[in-house]
Amino acid sequence: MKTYVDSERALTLLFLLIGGSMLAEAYSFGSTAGLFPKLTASIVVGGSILILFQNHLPGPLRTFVAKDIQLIQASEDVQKMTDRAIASSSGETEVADRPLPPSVFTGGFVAAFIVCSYLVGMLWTTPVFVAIYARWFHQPWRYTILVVVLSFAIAYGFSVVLNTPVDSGVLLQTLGVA
Amino acid sequence: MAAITAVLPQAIEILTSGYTPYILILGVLLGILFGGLPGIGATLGMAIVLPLTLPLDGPDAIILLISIYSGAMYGGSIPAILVNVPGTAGDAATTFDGYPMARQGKAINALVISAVASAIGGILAVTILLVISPSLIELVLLFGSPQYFLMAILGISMITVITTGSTVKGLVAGAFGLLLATIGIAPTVPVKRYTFDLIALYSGLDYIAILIGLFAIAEMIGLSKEEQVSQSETGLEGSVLEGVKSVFRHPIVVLKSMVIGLLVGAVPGSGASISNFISYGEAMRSSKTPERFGNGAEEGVVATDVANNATVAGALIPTFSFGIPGSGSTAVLLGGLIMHGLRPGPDLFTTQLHITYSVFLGLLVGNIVILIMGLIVIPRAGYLTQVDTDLIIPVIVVLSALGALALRNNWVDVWTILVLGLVGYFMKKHDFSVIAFVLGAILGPIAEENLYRSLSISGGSFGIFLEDPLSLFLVASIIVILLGPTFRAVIEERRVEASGGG
Repeated sequence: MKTYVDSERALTLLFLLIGGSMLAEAYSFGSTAGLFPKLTASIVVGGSILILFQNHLPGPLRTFVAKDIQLIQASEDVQKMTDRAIASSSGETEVADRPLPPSVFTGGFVAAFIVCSYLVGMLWTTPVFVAIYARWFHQPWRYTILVVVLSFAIAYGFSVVLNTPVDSGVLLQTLGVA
Repeated sequence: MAAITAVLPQAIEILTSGYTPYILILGVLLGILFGGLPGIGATLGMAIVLPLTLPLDGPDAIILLISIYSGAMYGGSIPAILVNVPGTAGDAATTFDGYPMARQGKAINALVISAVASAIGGILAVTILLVISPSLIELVLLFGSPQYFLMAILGISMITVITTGSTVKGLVAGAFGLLLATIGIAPTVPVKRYTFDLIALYSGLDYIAILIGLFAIAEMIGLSKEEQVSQSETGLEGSVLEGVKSVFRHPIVVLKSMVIGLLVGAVPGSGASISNFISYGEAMRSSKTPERFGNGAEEGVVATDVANNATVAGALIPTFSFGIPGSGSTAVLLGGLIMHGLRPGPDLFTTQLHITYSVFLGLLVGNIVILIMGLIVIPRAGYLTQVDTDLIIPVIVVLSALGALALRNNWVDVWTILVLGLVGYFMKKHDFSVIAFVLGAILGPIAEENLYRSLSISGGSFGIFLEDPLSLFLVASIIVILLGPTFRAVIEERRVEASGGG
């Protein structure tokens, strides 16, 4: 629960920070180019502040800020069936013999894949990424090899058919795959 | 009406010429595949395919995307019926009776009901869409720059009160999307905004990269933490003929569900995730034996599958007319329209009417293809549910990264999918509406242009948004939609407090 609240606050603070800095910057764009960014950034800043301080707001305003109110709702019977279905489905699972929760690993590893692709080229990082990911989740070798080959073929296809520059990066220049 | 009969031959020619028929069939097959693979679904599938439509003509690209959308509505019912896990949000209610039917040895009946009901729902809804489209044209032509700006705000407002999460969270998400869309050179005057003097940012953030980040990367991070779908405990038993007969035994359910799907789909932000529950609820309410629902009632499967495919047609109304998507999938479709130079609004109903009709007819034919393909796929349907998501996730991530880079050969797009993928994951986790954010990002430039044009006409006065009845109606609608549900909730809270204290 504490983690849930912390990451929600962090996200709201991120919106507030970005919105605030963009609002300040918008004053340097002139009246025409600056109008739309000022309007939208103001909503982001104002809304984020309301969300951060929702627990200190008076009743009706707090309802507006905090309560999940939907315009279209299913009937009560259907809602009960939905709630039963949700309750019976499991939450986050762990992977045996692995130190990180799956979502943390996936998010971090995707980031690492993209950073490494930027450095050396997506064509070369793709098979490594797919292989490590599949093996992290204890996938059998035959399926791992299958998806590695499939992924490499897709990347190669992008290079040849769409001329996407996947074979080189900032640190590695191969002067074309063909 | 004369204009429509004049463009129909052109529309039919677009649909039947070149590779278009094969693209349509491919789209339906891909849609069934995306819908059938747990955790993928229509939105993600369309988001991944979107960059790959770059080499295609506009009509072909839209027909491909819409075929995927409608195919996925049926495909999502396969895991819903076989393993009690809906492949798309629009098939959630299919699990209530589809899975019990499978456990009773009627898996084939349920899958056939789903295929036939999906096809009939889609065909009837598109037919109605074709019939009412002349009226739509009249309505669209009433809209000018002030009204289009207000429609963009109305669309975001509706999404904030329809999707989960508080209204303010939805508004923050929508406004954040609008704000990110201002990065780059302003559309109204040549001023660089938030570019940090980087040439790569002069064109701003590509909304397709935003779509991929939010609908693919964020989704894959979320999918990685879910328990694997278990192997199907049910065999593929039952009767194809009985399945077909089941649909025709409930004509009233079919008609009502089709209308519900069409109407709900036309409401921005609602989509099949809502229509399937409403039509299921209505079928249960009006049944003489409601106690059978939840235990394998065939009408339950009929109602949900008719509604979710009818929703596809309904969602085209706000998307094509005003550029307001009815769901995440139509948000991707909207992105596809803009990418291929097809701007929602009057053009699609005047000079480009033939393209609009080719898409509608494509959807009509696509539903027939769903029926044929669905019946072919049934004996092999079980394989889809056995694919491990831990093998799908890395492939989707790779496809997403490649697709992002292929958009403009610009690494800004790849960083965009990474950053927004991570942000999108937390947005979903904490009920900040991702659809509102996407809508803001896509409509930002259009909204800003219309705002600029409106203020140019009025000499800088915001009074232009209150000058005519249509604008006043839209402004009033925005206020009612944003504040009405809260007002009702506050009154309800006070009533409960008063009766509790009494």
